[in-house]
Amino acid sequence: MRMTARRWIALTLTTIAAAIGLATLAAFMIDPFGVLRDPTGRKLSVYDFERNAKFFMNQRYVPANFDGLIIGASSAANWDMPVLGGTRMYNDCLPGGNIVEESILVDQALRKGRFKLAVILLSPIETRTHEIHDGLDTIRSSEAIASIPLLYNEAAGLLRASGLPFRKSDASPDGKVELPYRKNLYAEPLPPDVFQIDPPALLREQQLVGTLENRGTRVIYVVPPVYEPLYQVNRSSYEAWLKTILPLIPRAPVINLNTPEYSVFRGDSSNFIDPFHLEPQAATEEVELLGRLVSQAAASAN
Amino acid sequence: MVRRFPLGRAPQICILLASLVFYAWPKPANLPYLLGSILGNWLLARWIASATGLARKRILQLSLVLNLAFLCAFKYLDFIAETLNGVFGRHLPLPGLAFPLGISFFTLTQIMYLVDCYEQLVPANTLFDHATFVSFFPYVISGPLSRAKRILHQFPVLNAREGPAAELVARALYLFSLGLVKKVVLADAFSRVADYGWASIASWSALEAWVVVTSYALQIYFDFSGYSDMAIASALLFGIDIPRNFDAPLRAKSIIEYWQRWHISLTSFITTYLYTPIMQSFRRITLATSAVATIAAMTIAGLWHGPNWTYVLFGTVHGAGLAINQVWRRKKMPALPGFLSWLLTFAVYDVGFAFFRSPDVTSAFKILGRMFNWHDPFGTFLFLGMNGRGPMLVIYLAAQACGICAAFLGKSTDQLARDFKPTWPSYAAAVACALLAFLYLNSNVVTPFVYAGF
Repeated sequence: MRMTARRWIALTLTTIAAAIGLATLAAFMIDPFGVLRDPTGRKLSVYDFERNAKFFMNQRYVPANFDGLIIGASSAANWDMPVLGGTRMYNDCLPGGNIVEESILVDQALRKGRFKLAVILLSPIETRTHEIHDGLDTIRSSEAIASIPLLYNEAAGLLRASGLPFRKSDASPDGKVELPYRKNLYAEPLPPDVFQIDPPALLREQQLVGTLENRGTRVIYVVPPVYEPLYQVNRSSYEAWLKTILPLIPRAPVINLNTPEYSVFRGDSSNFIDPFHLEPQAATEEVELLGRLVSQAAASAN
Repeated sequence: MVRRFPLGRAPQICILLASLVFYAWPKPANLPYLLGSILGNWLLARWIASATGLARKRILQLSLVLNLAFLCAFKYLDFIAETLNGVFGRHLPLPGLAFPLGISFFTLTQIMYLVDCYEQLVPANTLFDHATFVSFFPYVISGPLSRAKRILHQFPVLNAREGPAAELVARALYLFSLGLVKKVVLADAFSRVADYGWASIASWSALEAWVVVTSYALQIYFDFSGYSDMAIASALLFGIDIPRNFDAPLRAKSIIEYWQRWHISLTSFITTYLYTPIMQSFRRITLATSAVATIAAMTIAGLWHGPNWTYVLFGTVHGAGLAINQVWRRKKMPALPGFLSWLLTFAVYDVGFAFFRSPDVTSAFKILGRMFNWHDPFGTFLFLGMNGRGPMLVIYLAAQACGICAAFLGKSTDQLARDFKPTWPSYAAAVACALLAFLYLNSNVVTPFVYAGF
């Protein structure tokens, strides 16, 4: 069992170096975030660690394979819409995100990409705060070579490719992710701070829309559906928030899914996981509707 | 590499320069304070060494006053002014001086050196040796607090042509990998729970409060002991043996034993340079004067951690615990069963950490209120969100389980390093720890060292 100290040192250092070398090689070969090899035509899914994964995917994978972006928080993160109004869309929605965090992702994509269409969600959660969570602003390039998020997504991708079961079975290459929330419907008044507009967050939203428009991207705002009973309890706050924010951000077509004509859909409890997130089958239905509305909005804007 | 050339003390010069670069790296503006302190104390030590009789004592007193003034100017002036403003309703200006990195550690190190010079335990150094001793990179920022008499006689090793033995280097690598994993994997897993809990104090049940505070105790233990292990290992790579700082303190069965195992170098400082002089200032040594000296010394040690009343109360809680423990022993009161002793010790240091982690005294008392919240003793709602969700939940839970085992069972890293032999199991452990730590370090999940803030 015993060896000389010199051999122990040599063996330890060599093994560590070899393991790091192997991890680097695996990262290049599997490249689940599409940053180390040409990602054109590849189909890469986000299985978990959405922030890290989408941060890296926006650097090369998204610009190489998509012409449009859906920008928002979790309310549309499980919407699967690979094509919208003829544009190949990437769902850049970030669970738990706000507009400042989402802008970090878009900034990555805009370094190499030009996009025809950007669907931006208008929801109070976007402008409530400008706090950046989970180190989204401090992600280092080396994390694409060896890190916990990388290893997890490598393993998940390999499991899926081998046909083995994996819990994120419906993650798709257009950025849609499965939401891990449990069914929890309620209809209570939301705290007033939910509807506060944080000035730095508002400024970032203005800058984001301005940048996209300057680069020739057509911007369409979408107000995501809220479970009808909760919406009615907080209706005045929601309406006041929208009325306040619209004049403060650059003008663009608005598709409001909280208007009375969609109240039947919103009132059906089987459509919602919780008051802000749609069940997968309802999300599919919503995406079809949105496709029609976006085409109409784009046509009328022309 | 420098050792290969016949350059006399060139290796030591390289180490001194490397230490100064290491110290200045995060903020170069800190360097003049360290250099000024080194130069000033070196001159004072020589002055003490050359003086005789009462003059010698007066120079030592002046040296201590100057060092404490230096420390206070950066660390406590705002605190003193704020306290005076609060008590007397004055509007004294707050200087707002940013305190240089490691000032608490390198100032105490030099106070010990000056006292040792006065007591003729060590001769006054050359400036070169003194600068190397004080700025030595493994301990300059966060300790362990090292006494000159323990370090200086080892300096010839730094310049020895043959360098440290391979066995020593292997032991150092092994200890470093263990320390690294303690810091980046275990401490950070517990910091999740502590940070989550402290952000929502109002809703804790008693059980949750104890879990959150214990998580902080485990966080700070792994954080600081991990740092100390890495510091000891780094010094060992150069053949220098610096004092150990932790010896499985969370297993202590009395508060006296706890302080013999927790931040050992600070305990040694408190005992030698605070408690003993306070005791000597009393005319008679009794149980009562001993208790007063203990509480006073620990309160000062608490304040050393930072300019906040929470640290003062942290020290006072431990001082009171130690005093009660001393009385209990001296009066030969019946010993408690082992588990009960451990539980009582655990409760005392958890109460201490409730003060230590809280931003202010009001929050600390709120937390204590929650810890002894008999209306909601066993609520577990907070546990659902403590470790996040998804794969990180599993990773953190696994790390926490390993951390609990490491803290309360098995050998400490200090024991493991002492028993180290270059075998296959130690090789596997070192490689696994290093790779795991590397993965964490590269994953944007590691929090800064807690003790770097002191």
